[in-house]
Amino acid sequence: MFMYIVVLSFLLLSLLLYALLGGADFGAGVIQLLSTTPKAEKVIGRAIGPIWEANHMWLVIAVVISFMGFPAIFKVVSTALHIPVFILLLGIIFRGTAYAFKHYDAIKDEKSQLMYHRVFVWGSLVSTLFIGITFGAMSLGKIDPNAADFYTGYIAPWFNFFSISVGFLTTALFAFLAAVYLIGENEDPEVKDFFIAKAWKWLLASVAIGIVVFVAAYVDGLPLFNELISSPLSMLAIGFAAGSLPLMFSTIRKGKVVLARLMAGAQTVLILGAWLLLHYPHAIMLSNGGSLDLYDSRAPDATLAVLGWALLLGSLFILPALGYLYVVFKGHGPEESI
Amino acid sequence: MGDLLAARLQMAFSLGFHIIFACVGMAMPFLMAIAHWRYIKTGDAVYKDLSKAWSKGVAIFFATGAVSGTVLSFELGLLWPEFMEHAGPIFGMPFSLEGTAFFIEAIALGLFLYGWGKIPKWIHWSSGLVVGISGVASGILVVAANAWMNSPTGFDYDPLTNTYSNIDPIAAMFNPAWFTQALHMILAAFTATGFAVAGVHAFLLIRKPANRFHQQAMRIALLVGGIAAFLQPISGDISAKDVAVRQPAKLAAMEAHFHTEEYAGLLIGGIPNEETGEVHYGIKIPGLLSFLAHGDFKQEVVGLDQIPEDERPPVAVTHFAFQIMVGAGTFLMMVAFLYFFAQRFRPRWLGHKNFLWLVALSTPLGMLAVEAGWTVTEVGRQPWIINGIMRTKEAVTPMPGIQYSFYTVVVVYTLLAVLVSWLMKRQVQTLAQNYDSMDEEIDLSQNKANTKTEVIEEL
Ligand code: HDD
Ligand code: HEM
Ligand code: HEM
Repeated sequence: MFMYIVVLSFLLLSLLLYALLGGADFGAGVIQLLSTTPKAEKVIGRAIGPIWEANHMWLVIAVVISFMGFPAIFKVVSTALHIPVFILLLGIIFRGTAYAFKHYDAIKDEKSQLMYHRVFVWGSLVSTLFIGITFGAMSLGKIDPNAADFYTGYIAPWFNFFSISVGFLTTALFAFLAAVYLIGENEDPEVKDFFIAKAWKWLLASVAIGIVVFVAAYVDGLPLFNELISSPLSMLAIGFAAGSLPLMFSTIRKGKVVLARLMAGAQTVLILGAWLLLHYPHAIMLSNGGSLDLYDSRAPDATLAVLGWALLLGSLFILPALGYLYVVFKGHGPEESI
Repeated sequence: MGDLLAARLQMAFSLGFHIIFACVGMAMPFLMAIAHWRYIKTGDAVYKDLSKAWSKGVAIFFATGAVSGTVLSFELGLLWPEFMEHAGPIFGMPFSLEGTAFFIEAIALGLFLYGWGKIPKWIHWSSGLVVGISGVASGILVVAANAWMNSPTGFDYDPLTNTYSNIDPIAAMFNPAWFTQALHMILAAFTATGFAVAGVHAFLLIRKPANRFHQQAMRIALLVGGIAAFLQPISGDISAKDVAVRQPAKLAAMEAHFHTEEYAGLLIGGIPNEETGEVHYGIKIPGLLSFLAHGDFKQEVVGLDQIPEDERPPVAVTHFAFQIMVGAGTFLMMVAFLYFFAQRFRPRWLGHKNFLWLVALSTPLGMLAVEAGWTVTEVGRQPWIINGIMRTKEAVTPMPGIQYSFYTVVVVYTLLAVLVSWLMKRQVQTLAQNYDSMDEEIDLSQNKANTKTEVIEEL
């Protein structure tokens, strides 16, 4: 039981860190979707350059924990949600390589830079959208492992109003996170204003899409609102998230960098936390009204024991090294790459 | 195209793509560390430039390796959900440790690429080395997972109820095949990367034979690749002995050895006919297969006739792949021998056009051997995904239409491969304008630099 908790905590921790750190990397692409400036582009490049490979590893860790620790869940997600996960992978491929190519291309001509930029931005959008769709689909309850036809088995679980609106919510939240982080990455007032404006817009978008998610849940027959009311802790989390919005607005407007970052991070944690609390111990809701539960889907004890130890020992190495990386490149990224 | 075939091809294509970047990710940091170390020791700017120029290329390779690896970790589930549900808890151990190795690698890489002039020089140098060490560690770990598929241990299996019990992930990780496979793979990464890098610089030297930058680059790469190429056939022999015991069907397919016999001969070349069990146009060296497989010329070697028909791997593919690997390995070993000989006794040969052409032509051979070697291992295990326990066709996803994701993967990866090559070309084009030491010429008759730049710059 103890190791089950260790393993589960690491799974949640890596998902959370992926949302907070990797999510911001994706968001940095998304905020450039509508408009960008050469200066802002430069700040973004410098801010995520040294750390994006590390941020992105949290996803791989989460995948490994799920197939080793919760194999039945991994199987159902990768079967029923094969299509959205595959599209997510395409997004990750295009975004990751376009980013690297853009920065390490030896000849920085306008034409190819523009091409990399476009692929980076659109790849970021696709990735965030499909991360959200996948998670939305897990909680909606249209997954049917015994489906007889292709549509109910592989399309219906995720191609619906609710999952897609969760996809957009994820996109907006990640973009918001990125904008808030980036405000403090540069002293130039012009760039600061650019990111402050972006943070505002994406915060508004998140709130608006958040409301749509509730409507979509209603339309798709998910009693999200009732579930929320019956879970006091989730209510509290969402209440905090919503209640802190005015304060959030004012810190962003005043450009209080550290506070805004902390609050934006906390917002994300609260929303994810509320979602988890609502669902625990269910990991996947099925179309017959049943669910796949975390505890029931766990691997045998011997596996959880070694996995737990591997994670505990691993974090002894990772956390200090990661800390050093952030300290070295904190605030101001390197002036030139290499 | 059937779904099973599409899934197998997609897996093979994705892995075959990733392995190239993985090899570079394992070996290249060491080449850079050698150059970097020589710079710190001698202050000779050519080594600093070399290390920087290489690291720019490596950054592109790393990003591509990281995304293609991420794709693989999902593909295991997307394509083989049934396999992962049972195998995940058993063979997941090395993957979970690999997570740590990747993390450290990614962090150290960030420090190395962006750390010039920002962090103390020895920490900077060590961060480069750490990239290489953790790359090799992750290579060993992931191959241990693959070795488990060849020699599954660490659990009890009941075929009647299809249940896996008494799971011991540590025993599964240290399965009987992990060491020989990991050793052979790591050597392969150094051979393949060393010769690929040396080949590119040799090619550039053909045009500018006196260029010091390319001279030094080629030498460092040949040193590393050459040592590995020497050890490779020894390790390959250990692998073959191991396969003979653990997977006789694979060995028989590698050698197109249809009939069980004593004094079994080693087949060189030849076109096997799986229907009739005959081999045409091959040369057979009597007794050698018995010796190589079991260390005894007269010992019996199991042929395909002793393997039930529905458990025989595809013979032609396995055999051709094995021939390609061994052929390439033998050739590279001879090039390595020539290099070490010339280095010691005939330094002038190293600048000779013929030698440079030889090295240039070896550029793809190491990578080719890696691809061929994996084809041997993986196709030679068929029809099993877990040797003797689960068949590949039982493991495949129930989702229809896998050929479309296969086509997509082929198109996307081909595009990426073209782009990466194009980017490398652009790196080479701009070398001269980025690095002053590129213009230094070396006096061929003395084999020594005649212009040595003073280095005032701090690291
Ligand atoms: C530079 C690459 C390279 C070179 C020159 C060689 N190999 Fe190799 N070989 C590999 C790269 C490789 C590989 C890609 O790394 C494999 C696939 C799986 C593995 O562990 O290593 C492999 C597998 C592999 C296997 C199957 C192992 C198994 O299934 O467990 C055998 C028997 C050999 N090799 C034998 C040889 C021999 C006798 C060689 C003599 C020259 C040789 N290899 C050269
Ligand atoms: C023999 C086969 C393999 C070897 C030797 C190998 C080795 C490596 C190495 C050395 C790296 C780091 C270098 C780089 O990023 O370019 C890497 C990256 C990666 N590999 Fe592989 N790999 C193999 C197969 C696999 C498989 C089957 C998976 C997944 C199941 C996988 C998952 C990954 C992941 C997720 C990364 C990204 C790590 C990062 O971001 O740094 N690899 N691999
Ligand atoms: C990177 C080097 C590798 C290459 C080039 C490679 C190549 C291949 C090939 C050619 C196949 C298709 C075999 C067939 O169906 O006839 C295959 C299948 C497969 N490989 Fe590998 N492989 C590599 C490493 C690995 C590793 C490290 C793992 C897992 C830890 C792995 C897991 C699988 C699985 C699950 C399949 C599908 C099932 C099967 O065909 O048996 N491979 N691979």
